[in-house]
Amino acid sequence: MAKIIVVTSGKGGVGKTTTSASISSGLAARGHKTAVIDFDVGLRNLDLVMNCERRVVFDFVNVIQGEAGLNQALIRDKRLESLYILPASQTRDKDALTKEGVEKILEELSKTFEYIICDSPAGIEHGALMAMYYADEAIVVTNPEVSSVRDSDRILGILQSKSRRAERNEEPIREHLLLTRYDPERVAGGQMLSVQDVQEILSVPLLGVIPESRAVLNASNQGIPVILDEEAAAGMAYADAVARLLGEDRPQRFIEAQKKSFLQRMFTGSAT
Amino acid sequence: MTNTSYAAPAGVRFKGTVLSCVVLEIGAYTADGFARELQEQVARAPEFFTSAPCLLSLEKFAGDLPAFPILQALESCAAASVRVIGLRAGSPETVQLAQIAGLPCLETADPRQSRQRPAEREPGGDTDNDSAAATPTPTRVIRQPVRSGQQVCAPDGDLIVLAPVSTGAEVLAAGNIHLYAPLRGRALAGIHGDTTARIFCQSLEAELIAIAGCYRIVEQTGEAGWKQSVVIEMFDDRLVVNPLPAARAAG
Repeated sequence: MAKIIVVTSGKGGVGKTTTSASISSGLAARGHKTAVIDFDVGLRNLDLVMNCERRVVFDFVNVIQGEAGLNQALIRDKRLESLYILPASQTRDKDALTKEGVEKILEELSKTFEYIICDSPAGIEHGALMAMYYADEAIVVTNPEVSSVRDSDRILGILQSKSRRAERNEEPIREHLLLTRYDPERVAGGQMLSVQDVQEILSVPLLGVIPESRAVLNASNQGIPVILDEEAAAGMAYADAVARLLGEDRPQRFIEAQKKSFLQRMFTGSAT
Repeated sequence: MTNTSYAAPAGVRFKGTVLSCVVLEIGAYTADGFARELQEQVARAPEFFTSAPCLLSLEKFAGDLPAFPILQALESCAAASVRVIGLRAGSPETVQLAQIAGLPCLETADPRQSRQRPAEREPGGDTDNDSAAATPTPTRVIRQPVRSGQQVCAPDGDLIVLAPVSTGAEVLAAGNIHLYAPLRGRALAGIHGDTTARIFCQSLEAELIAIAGCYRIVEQTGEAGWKQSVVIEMFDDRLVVNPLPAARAAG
């Protein structure tokens, strides 16, 4: 039976798609057969981040409506052989997702995959509800900023009340907090919420802290999940998060402000 | 939790609700005096009265109740734009008056009665029997965090929450509310009008606190007890925030 993990946040632009791409790539790189589904019907993005936009023929909605088979729509990643992408439809709207349709696809994927990552759209409407409904675990992506934290809190409440597990009174969805765009220097300067602040408000176990990094935008633009950039702090932080997701114990590496040498300050002073 | 279900929409549905309304107590009645007094009171806050439902209470009426000119009184109310939705049930005479007026007779808890009840019981001495006879009100215990947008209600008794109540969340109880974690959202105790209800919380960071409809928002709470363990209770129709004894000793 596959483990279904939803990547969600409530708020838009916090890094759900970046996280979905990196977590799924990380799992696949460790040899786990993984499928990643873009639930953002109408605003398809995951294919760009995963660099497979030119290979999209059929999509998620085609499969739900029986216009194509699942195997026709699944795109195999060029870099990682155990990773498959199911793209969203760009021309339909989110009402095309039905509970029954989504369930059928997830069941079929569960037969052959170990992990299914659901990239949720922003908001708390139908699309987001469909992405989370069948989840076993949830990665709640949050920026260290008050409005993002409040929206995450809202989505956590919805996870615990509107998911299938909640409706059936089963064991609740396992929640993970992933703090992204974290800037330890701004935290030290009191301009940003700290890890402790966010955890105190949300009281959810911390999966990882992804530092603010130029590598993220570069990677997105090039269509390479940032986790594959082993030089970048953000890539390493995602690799740690994947390890923790698999039950390994890893220390947090990027939550302290680095003391910069004089020369570093000379060259990167304007970066932050 | 209140999140509405996803089930197919029904055309007609009965739902229970709790509403607060204005009670108009009539102690003495003369046709002119009543109309004039009413007009004067309404003139002070016209918006409030014209939009709020109002209940007539004749429990304190000193005169001859069966002979009370209910229809005339209702006309005066209408003239003053007070919307009477019913009579508060008290005696059989009130029920008759309600029938004459064609209005429902509503059973409501009088906060003052609930305050007196425990005191009346005490002298009996036979407390064991007494508590067995009175069915204990159910207490609701919540262990999960109450998240933004969620609402948790204990409609008949006390509410105990062992996890944080987030900003944008709401906890309500007919009785007391006990919070063993930070309260950042809203807490409303004594929702049926029990003014003896209290809110106990480990760390007061609330958006709003209320007891029996008397409320205070963050800006009014000010510094008193902020981020401290406090008990909030009602004295003389005012909310009072006091540190809990343990917190007092520690501080």
